[in-house]
Amino acid sequence: MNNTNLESRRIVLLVIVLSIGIIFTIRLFYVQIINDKWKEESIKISETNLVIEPERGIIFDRNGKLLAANKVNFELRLTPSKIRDFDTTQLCELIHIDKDSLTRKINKLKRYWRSKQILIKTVPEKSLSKLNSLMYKYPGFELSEKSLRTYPESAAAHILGYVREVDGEIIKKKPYYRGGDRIGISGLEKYYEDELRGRRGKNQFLRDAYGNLKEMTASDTAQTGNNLWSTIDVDLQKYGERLMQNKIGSVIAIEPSTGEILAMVSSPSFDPNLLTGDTMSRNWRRLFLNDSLKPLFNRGLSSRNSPGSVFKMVQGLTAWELGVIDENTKIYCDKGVVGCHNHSAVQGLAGAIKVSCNPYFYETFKRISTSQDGENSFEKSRKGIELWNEYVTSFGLGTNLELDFPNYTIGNIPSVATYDKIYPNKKWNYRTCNSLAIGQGEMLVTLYQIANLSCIMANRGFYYYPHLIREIDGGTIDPKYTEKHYTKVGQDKFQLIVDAMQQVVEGAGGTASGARIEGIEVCGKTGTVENSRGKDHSVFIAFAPKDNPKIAIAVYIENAGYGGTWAAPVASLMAEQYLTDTIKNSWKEQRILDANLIPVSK
Amino acid sequence: MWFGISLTIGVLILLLDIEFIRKYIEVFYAITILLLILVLLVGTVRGGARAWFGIGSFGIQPAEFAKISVSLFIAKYLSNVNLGLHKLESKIWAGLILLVPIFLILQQPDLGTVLVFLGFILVFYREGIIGNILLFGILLLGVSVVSLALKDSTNTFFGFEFHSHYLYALVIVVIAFLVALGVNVTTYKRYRRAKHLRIVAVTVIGLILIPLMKIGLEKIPENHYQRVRVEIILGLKEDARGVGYNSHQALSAIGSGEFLGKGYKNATLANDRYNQVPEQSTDFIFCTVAEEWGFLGSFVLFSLYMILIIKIITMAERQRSAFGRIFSYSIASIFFIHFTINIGMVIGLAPIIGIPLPFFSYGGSSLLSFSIMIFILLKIDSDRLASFR
Repeated sequence: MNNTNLESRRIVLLVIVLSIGIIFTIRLFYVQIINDKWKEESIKISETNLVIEPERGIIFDRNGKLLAANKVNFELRLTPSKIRDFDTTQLCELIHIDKDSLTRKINKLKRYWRSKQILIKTVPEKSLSKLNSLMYKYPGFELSEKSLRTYPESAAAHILGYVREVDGEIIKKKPYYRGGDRIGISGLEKYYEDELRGRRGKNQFLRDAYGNLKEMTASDTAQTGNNLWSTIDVDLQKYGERLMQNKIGSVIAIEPSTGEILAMVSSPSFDPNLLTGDTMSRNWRRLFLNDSLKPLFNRGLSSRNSPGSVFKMVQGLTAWELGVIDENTKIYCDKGVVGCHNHSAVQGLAGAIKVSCNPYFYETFKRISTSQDGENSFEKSRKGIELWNEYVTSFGLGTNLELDFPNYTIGNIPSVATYDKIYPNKKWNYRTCNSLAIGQGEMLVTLYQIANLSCIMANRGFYYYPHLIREIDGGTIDPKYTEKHYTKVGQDKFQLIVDAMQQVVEGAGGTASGARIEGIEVCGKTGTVENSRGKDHSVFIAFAPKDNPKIAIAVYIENAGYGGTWAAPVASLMAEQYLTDTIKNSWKEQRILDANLIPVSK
Repeated sequence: MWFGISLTIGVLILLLDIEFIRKYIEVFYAITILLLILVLLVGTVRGGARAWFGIGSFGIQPAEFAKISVSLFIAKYLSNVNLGLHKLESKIWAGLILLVPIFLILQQPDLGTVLVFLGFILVFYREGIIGNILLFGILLLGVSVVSLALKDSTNTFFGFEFHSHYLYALVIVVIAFLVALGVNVTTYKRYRRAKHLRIVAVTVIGLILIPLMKIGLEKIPENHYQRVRVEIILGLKEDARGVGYNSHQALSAIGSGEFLGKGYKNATLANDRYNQVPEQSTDFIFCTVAEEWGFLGSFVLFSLYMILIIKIITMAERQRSAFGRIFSYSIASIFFIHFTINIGMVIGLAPIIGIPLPFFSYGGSSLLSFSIMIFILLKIDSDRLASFR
């Protein structure tokens, strides 16, 4: 063979060697510089972030008592791949669980063979120290601290709400949260979630191929959530919950001079601690699905009802302000268009409120409509209702009072549009809606708005948006809560109504003698809301003392009958407890505590 | 310790007369073959291969030394002036010198060393035992097998997605182009046309062959033992923790090095403290280099190997004796195959095959064997003026 030809093959070999070198360099350039994928992969496999959970903020009542706090709690976690033989019986005894369900739980976790998972959410406190000293016997098991939400006063369940571990749906909607995080689901826990949750910290570690952590490379400390100072007086709240046992309804007490809610009872209620820890989902199902009285429903904020006779004060003030009556106007109680109960002759507006005369207020409603300009009664009524609606809503009824709470109902004060919708030919006048005059019919409000009405009376014409939190550590509350809101009725007109309210309680023939408190001037107004499906609902609003009032209350008891019979004593007991810290008339207290006003379901 | 032994033996070699070594080459070869048989009978198993004579932690791999004696024997056989290389008989004898140790090592099995012996094809090519076409045919087959072994993947270059098949096809085209260029420079004009056509033809066959082999393998049922066997040999099913674990860890370590690297001893993956890269101190040692010194350091490493191999080739060409030339080419091809398979495996261009990176991977036998090769080379080169025959 030609030798020259063979020597030239050297070139071919050199080219092969060099092209391998070039190809490798290109590949390396791609892996190390162009493509970030492998850099990201390296972080994924070599770094572990240990999240430091922040402590959730604490909620105090107005006197510094703990409403919501955190309890030390240990979870038992398990890495199935690391299990060796262990003494099952002893472990079962320590964590209070029977052998079968332990085996079942462990088998369930075996699906994720190498990952650490939660076996028991709450290790019993008593066995904690013993279990801790015996942990070496249980390879694969690990005790890990995870604090638990707790409600030390076992009260105010509806106000506080509850927290729950986030699920996939929440994580999808709110990317901040990760598996195992807790989030407020209702109540203050939900509304102030961003303040309460704090900020997560994280420690970054390098790890080896077997998952063992090596050096820490970065650290970011967790920030505890902000503490909240509630306006609630937990003693009053608990007393209210006791009084309302075996009754359906709600009580709301507000400090009129600030709009701070002192108590908000919705009955039936429950212990908020039921919705924490291991038994939470079972209890939740019990409360939500299996209780016909719907204890999770917050009646004071979410139940819409007619206000009943307590509305007559608003009606009277509106008519007076519009000039269709004055304080001395007398109207004969003819029981013609609307019925009435038997009472003594009415001497002016104050008297009408004291005896709660239906025809009197019906007449004022009629006059508002007929005094307007217009060709016929339909047009006059349209103008009348429009004006009336404007005045009534200025009392906060049927409007959004901006409560710092995740969900509440606004209700509705009928307007021109309401009736145009019912009567598309617009042939309607004041006679169509005469029941509005006495707080019945299409008018729907919440007890929370009625309590606010009580504040307006106590303040003689203005109110603050009622609220539940008055201070946030490291934060500020919304300035809207310190802003005064005036009604459209002149403030000079309120004193007359207040005097009448005192007569309701203390005057001879008043409808609420059951609300009297020895030594304290109480002002009140009863209401009885007609109910087509059973006994009337009992309503009462009150404030005390008459001068410089400290507490304004609204009480609503379903199917209890007259407002004066049941709602009034509840309100007075609440006020007396709050103002004097004692109850002088223990017979009255006992009567309320003993009463069971829950209608027997047929 | 191994470094000391290597140095001592190296100095001994320099002191010996090359004629002394030449005289006993057949004996060395025979001893090697005996050792390869013996290791199959009494050897210990490490890393899945019965390749070691071990006393405690101390182990010797006879296959490493087989590389030297085979190189020497082939050099001696092919340099025999009386031999007609064009004769089929002598080609068969030359092949047998290779095939006996290949057969024995396959029984261990140690695929890496087998590939090193197959690398002698480059030497045969240089000596005219096989022609152009055969060389490219073999290269094509090699690339096809490699492409078969790699898991399906898509690579993104500048926003364009390439299926891995096309990437390897591209590699072949690049090689073919470079070879064509080389041929162009070194052949007489009248031969060029025909040679170009051959190269084009081989390239086209390669482009068709790669996908065909892939499809062919997939036609075999998933768990058929032949397929499993092929896949295990190719490294597809080697690892219990999932196919591609090694490659994934290695590429992550390399990728995290970026341009400048993390600095000496700062590796957080390819480090025996973290063990993220399996066989980090031996076969996957390049990961540590790439992670600690980045692209820059790796490029320097590549360049050093390229310079070493090219230097040995130029050294080979200046030998006056055929023996010296052939032996030098053998050593060059051994280094080249080690470099190609080892780096190719680590950077994800070749299947996972256990083979050390010369002078970097931890391992006494390989360090000693590579040192002996270099020292013999030096000795032969220094003696070249004396060998006029």
